[in-house]
Amino acid sequence: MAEKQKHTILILEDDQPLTRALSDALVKNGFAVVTAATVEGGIKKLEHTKHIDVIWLDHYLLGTENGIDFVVKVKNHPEWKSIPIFVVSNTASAPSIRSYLELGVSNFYTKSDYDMTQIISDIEATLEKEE
Amino acid sequence: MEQEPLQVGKRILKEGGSPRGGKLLLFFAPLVLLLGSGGVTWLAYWLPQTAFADWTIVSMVSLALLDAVVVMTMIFSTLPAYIHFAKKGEEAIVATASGKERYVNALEGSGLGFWEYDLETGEAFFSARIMTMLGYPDHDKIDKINFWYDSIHPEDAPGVKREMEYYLDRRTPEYSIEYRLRRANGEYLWVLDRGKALRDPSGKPLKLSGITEDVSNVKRVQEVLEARTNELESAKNIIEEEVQNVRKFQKAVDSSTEAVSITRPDGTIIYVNPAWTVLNGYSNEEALGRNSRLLKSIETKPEIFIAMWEKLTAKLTFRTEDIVNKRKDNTTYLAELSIFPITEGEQTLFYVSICQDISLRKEIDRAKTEFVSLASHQLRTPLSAIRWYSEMLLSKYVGELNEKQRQYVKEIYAGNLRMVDLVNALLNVSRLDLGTFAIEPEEVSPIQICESVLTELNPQLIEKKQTVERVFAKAPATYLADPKLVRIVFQNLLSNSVKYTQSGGAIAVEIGIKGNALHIRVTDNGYGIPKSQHGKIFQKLFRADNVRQKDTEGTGLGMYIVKAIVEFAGGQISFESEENHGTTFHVLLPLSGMVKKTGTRGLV
Repeated sequence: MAEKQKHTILILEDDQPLTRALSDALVKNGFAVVTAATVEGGIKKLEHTKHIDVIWLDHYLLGTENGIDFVVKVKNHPEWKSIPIFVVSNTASAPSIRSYLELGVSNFYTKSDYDMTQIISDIEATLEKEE
Repeated sequence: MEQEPLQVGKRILKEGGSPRGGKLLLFFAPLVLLLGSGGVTWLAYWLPQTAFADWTIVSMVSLALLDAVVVMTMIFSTLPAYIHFAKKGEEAIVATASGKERYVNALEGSGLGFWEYDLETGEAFFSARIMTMLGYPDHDKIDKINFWYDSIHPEDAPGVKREMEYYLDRRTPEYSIEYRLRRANGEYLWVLDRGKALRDPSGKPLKLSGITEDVSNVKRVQEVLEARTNELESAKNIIEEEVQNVRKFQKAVDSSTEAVSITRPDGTIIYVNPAWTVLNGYSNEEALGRNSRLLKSIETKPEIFIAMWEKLTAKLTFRTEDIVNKRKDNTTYLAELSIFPITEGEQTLFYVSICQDISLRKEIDRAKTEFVSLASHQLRTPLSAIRWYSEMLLSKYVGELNEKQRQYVKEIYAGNLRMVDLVNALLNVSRLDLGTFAIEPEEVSPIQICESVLTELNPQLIEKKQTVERVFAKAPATYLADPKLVRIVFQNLLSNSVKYTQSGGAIAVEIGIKGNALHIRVTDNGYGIPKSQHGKIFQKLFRADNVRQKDTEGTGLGMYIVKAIVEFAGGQISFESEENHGTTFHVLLPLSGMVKKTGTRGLV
């Protein structure tokens, strides 16, 4: 694992306990983890972090903006638009899910229906494909 | 006025007058004859001594003749009166006798029996009519009074005796009583006795005579009349009670808070209660005689009316919560409406409609459902936390758990999964109830969806050693449907079969085409559904008694969801089941497929 280059993942999630569990699991799986709880915070992390390989995004976030606003910003940014985004949410409605998929996110998951490892392995598979 | 025969006779005799002179004749005739014969004797002695001796014979004869003439004259002057009197007497006798005969004839003709009781001798006379009345030979009878006493019904005898004694003692003005007499054949006959006493000048009764009338027919008529009267009385009571009931019901209906109206079969309104007038804004006078169509609103879906007439023409009760009514001021309200046909035989007499404005209730229902939806969403975040943390404990990120710890965390993890299922089911129910779910049809392979569900169920199938027979020969390759919805249908039906069938049981799933419908059949030979609970199987949160004891899992929402999906898709679901013999579910979906429906939520 030491030889393998670490992937950096940005987690945008408003719920602290979930963020902590997720960070721990991702670190254990060899990721470098950056977290934020608002759209603004997420953009800042993107700007200030050297390279982010993948984004884990919740729909409902702290602040006035939600996950869709974030995806719109990312997809409109020339450097960030190819970063795969995995939306993992408990509250998104059918139209928002459709919006996410239309905006080109990699996948959508209902949070409570999946183990972290199931989603993490999907993320890893996507990253491997890209390399 | 009819006179008694005796009076008639007396009157006739009186009219005739008493003959006179009879007594004088009886006195003077012998005297004249004596004087005559004395004179003759004296002449015979005296005359021969005189100069007229030669005239002796002539004188004697002359005197005798004179005497005879005088007597004859006396007799002839008296006799005609007696002859006349004798004639009148005869007339009187005839008149009396024929008068009496009239009475006897009248008595016989009237069917009245005649009797006479001699109080001195204790003997009694019974006319032939009485005897035949009692079933004895047809002639008069004279017997001891005991013959009659002994014939009186034992219950009536004391009363009859008392009546007679009272009358004879003059304590009552008349003797008249109804009682029962025994006939020769032992049967009893109702008779009416009326009598009159013959008394001596001191008032002591000598004889009692009277008539006996057979009143059994009268009695029978009386009894029938009494029975009829009683019947009428009770009918009257029933009617009065009914009238009371009707008043009660009228009062109840009048004071009901639900709007009640009654219409003729053609829809003409003949009654509305106050609640109806308040709800719809029409006064009683404005409503009566109008057609109930006056409430019809274009906002009501036409199929509601079609369903309504289908039910009503079949003389069945129609009930809906989806009708929109229009008030007088053209505002509308969502109504719950029940229409009950009142029929007599083949004929429909009236329709009774009960209606309620349920806009508010629907709003409350909606708010409740929305609350359930919101709460369920909120539950998902803590559920995710439990899921992910227990997942991490099990995946050894923070070190190895001992066997017990591992087992406990597994229980937490499994419990959490069940909770997630329940929350998802609640969300589906609230989406179906709110109508907010989306249907996104695409060409799907029913077989593929079914197989993927079976793959998911494989661990349980292996554990319970159950077999699954697949009957896909007539299955269409593709079907236009929302795959998520089709999946939910297969998932619920098949997982129920697995769950509610004993180890080693057999399950069969068939996909085919029946008429113009896609037919899905899932059969098992499992626990079955108790007959008494067949009606509840599609209710929210219902779980059959027999399976609740065997299996604690299950939300009681699955079949409700399946039915709602099938019906939203324009299909039908039915089942046959017998306890301990298994269950078969049939789902029929329109072959044309599902129609797209946009909604804010998909089902999960």
